Amino acid sequence: MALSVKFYGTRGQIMSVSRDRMIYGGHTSCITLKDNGDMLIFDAGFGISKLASTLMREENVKSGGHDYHILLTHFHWDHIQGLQYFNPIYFKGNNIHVYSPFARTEVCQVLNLLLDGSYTPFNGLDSLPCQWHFHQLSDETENKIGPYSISYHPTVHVGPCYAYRIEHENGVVAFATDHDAVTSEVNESLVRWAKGADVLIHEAMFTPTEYSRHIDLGHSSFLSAIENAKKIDAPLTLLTHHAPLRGDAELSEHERYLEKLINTKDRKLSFAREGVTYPVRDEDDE
Amino acid sequence: MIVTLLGVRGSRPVSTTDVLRYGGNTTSFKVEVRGMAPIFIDGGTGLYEEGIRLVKNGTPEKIFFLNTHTHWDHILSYPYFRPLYEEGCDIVFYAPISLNRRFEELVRGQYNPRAFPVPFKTLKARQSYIDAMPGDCFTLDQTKVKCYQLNHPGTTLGWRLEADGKVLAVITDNAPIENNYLGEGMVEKSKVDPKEFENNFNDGLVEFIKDADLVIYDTHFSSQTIKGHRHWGHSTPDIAIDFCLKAKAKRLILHHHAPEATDKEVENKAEQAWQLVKDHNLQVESGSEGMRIWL
Repeated sequence: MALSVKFYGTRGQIMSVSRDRMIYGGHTSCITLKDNGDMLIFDAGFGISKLASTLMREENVKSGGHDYHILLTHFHWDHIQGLQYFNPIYFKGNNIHVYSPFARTEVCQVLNLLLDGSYTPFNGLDSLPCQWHFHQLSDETENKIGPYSISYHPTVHVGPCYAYRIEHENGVVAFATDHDAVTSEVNESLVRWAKGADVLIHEAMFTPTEYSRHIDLGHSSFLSAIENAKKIDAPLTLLTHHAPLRGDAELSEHERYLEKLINTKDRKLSFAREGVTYPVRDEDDE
Repeated sequence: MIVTLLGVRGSRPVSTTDVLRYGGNTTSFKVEVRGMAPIFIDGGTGLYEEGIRLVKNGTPEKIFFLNTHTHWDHILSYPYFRPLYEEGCDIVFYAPISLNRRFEELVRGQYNPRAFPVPFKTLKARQSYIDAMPGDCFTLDQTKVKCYQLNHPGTTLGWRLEADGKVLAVITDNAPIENNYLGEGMVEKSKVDPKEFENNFNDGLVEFIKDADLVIYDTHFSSQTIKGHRHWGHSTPDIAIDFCLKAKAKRLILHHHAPEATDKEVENKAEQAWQLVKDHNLQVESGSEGMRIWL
């Protein structure tokens, strides 16, 4: 049962659509982790609407009876704003499971703001036909979703935000966005916790110069993200949360530069591309 | 008057190669009138890069916003609109009160500390939030402005602007009534005499866009796709053409393209509309992002 990661949204902050951002993608944060049967969805930025279009083609979403598992890192708009366009929520009998370390009341408060009748044609979570299930993850007991074991770790960001580590019999993935990888106790602990991952998904929004101007926004510079990637030493590191206006040519140039700093025979780095599926382990290893 | 289409996509932004010709950013228009501050209609994702351009070229002292309504696709860019963070910029928002929520409260909601990292109090621009009521009539410098309540969930306003002897009317988002009362308060108002209410609404809309040089109209659906979705609150090219012909409008831009509509489909929409107006003095085309129209 091959395990793979797919990016539906790689962009940070806001969507701004342009021809020169098609290779790395324009939708805001959404990633799936999938074996042959079970899928986990990380974040519900606008990328989740693209995932929904795929689901509408592949399975009978309208008939209901499907379970979807969404893990939220935090509630900043670019990580939740696509939820109202996730088609399964429009149909009765679909079960939408929302997981995070946050208390249920807090999750519902923010999602009800997102779905407020003044912002949407709906009127809060309860106005939708699907069945919502809110699960608060715990750091004391094991969190299992189907074949996946989930643990989480706080990140360095503006307001509380969590990284996830997912273990499956066919691989381990660590996902850290939004996170400022600048030296701190939290970051050191996050690095230790993420070790052993086959794939590290880490945010890297800023060039070092941009970072120096946005030091308190809770995002990483390319170089501090690379430092984390070296220490965690996953065979594959995928950098995500691209700045809204960063074009394909520029991203590709930075990518080539960063590859030289980190790539070895056993360790590769790429900037995450929307629509691309990355196997968690090389098939030869299985 | 120069009208620039900054975003023409409906419901949500879309970033795929098959929508790039018409554009994937959501609703925002810029209106330039000689000798006065720029007027923007709506703040969908089309506004974001314009905000960066404005600051780069020297932030204007004053900016006007006329908001049609407060659904996400029309306000997504506000927390990222650079001039809001600039000292010495005076930004005036006109917007409807929707479901008892004032526009200022809804903009502040976008800065909810759980959902956005920057606090509202860091905005340096001077802001004024002015409630626009359906039927209001006022002037912004030498531009005459009117609004009209449309048939869409919550309170939604169409805007009519007159300057330099030219008229622009923006009708988005809007659905035909046809026993489908979506606008705030419409169910109650229609109860006395539904037929009369509908006739009044239609006549009022025709009057509102009367003799317009340019009408930008919500045509999210086609005659086929609107079936089963009337309650979503959007129109079709046929409906838009019908109102424009009655009003003797000169030019119609089809707007609010459905997020799933590819360039090919938006092109077909324009072609079918073009066939419909063949015996009439109405120019029609699909709006595309970046389009600049000199009136």
